[in-house]
Amino acid sequence: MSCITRCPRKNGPGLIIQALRNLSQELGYFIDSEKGRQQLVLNRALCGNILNYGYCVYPRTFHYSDHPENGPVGKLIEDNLEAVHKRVGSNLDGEGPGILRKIPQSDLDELKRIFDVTGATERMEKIETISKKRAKELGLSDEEYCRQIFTINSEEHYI
Amino acid sequence: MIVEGKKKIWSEYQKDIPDDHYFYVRSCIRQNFFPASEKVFLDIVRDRLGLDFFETPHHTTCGGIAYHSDSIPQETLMTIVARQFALMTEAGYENYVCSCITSFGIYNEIINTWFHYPELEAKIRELLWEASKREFKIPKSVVHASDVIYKLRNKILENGKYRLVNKNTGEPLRVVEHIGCHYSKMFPSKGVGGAEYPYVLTGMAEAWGGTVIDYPERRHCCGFGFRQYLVQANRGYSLSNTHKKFESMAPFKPDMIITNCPGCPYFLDRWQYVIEELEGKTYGADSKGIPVFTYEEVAGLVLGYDPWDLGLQMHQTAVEPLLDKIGITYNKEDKYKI
Repeated sequence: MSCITRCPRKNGPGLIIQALRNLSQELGYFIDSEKGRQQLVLNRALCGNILNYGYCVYPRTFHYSDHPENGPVGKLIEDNLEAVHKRVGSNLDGEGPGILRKIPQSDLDELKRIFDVTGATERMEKIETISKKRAKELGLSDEEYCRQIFTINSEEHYI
Repeated sequence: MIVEGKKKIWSEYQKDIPDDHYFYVRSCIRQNFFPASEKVFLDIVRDRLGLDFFETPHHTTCGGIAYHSDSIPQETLMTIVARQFALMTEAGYENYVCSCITSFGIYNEIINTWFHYPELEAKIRELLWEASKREFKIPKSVVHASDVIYKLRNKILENGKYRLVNKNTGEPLRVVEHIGCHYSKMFPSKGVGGAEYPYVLTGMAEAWGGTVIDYPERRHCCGFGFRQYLVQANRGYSLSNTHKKFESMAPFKPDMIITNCPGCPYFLDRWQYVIEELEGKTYGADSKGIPVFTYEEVAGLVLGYDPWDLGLQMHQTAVEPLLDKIGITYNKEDKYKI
């Protein structure tokens, strides 16, 4: 953590925050805070990318509509994804090594087993279950609930 | 000044960067947004300098972004990393080089944690075996790819076609160097120059003819902050960090920014566009932005690569002002040709 550099005793308060966030997920408390509820969309995006493609960030799931700050160049890249990546030497979804290669299914299967034996799968399922219950209580569809927690900042909570 | 004393102190800020024989792992962010940077890196070290950099298609994300966004437990992260180390071990390598700064911090954090808590390392070895029947050795050396280019900076200059010099004035270009937070703030001894005097990018900029400018928010974060950017509702925090940096550096009139983290150039590039759209404000000369580069892109420019082969058309903030200052020849019509 960057905070360690500035602490005369080399403490890492960022790690304490991380531990508390983990605890709030284990105990289900995350659902009662605006920033905690965001965990659902983070999990779906990041864990989904890891388990389906082997990357934390993957271009076919990184949509311009969710990232307008990417600007007109970002829109051009999305609209011409294969051609742009071919032009600069990527191996997008191709066999063998290289930039954005297709990661073999056997490796993705290993990642899934790692998720299973280390508790990540269980945690993801817990976040899903509790979040779905909250969406139902609010009378929102899954899509409406996700859009709400992804976009709405009440300006009453700060990171 | 006692020169010998200064040399002794500075020697404590150096790190060992092996000459050759590396196991190379890619960066999720760099592959998505600056893909040609990884291509030119391997082109320089393998094809131009004849070094051994091995890559296996079986390596994956390290999981760092998910870990820092609280999406996966520490044990999951450690086991994914242990798998990467197993791939290195199976390939017969001991030197590990990564393209990503988040990964670099993750690797150092994990190795350090295992050093202090060997029982945790033993647990991760069991979990990896359970999941994949793999075993691993801890790398003898973990370096970031920018460390390698830093080490090779003078060779790159020797083979270079251009220098970071204004062709019209003959003056060195004014360079902002932006170090990724997880390069040396987490473990200062793991970065060239430590956390207070990081020299990895300054060394490149100065060797290639530029002059590095100092400004109050030089060590400020770009603002990525993982969940601060990944969730749209939080992005104001990410943007405000970049805004703070640009407000601080602008009076010093930088010609360019060079970065070593894959995320930082994305944010320093894209948020300039957003600030211009929101406030009509630009930070470079002639109402333009300040071009932002990866260190591989700058090395490529020095070596005379075509800017569009380096993927500079994938930047939102136009790079042409810098190309024109150096006198790099390029074809405008080819920029978006696909």
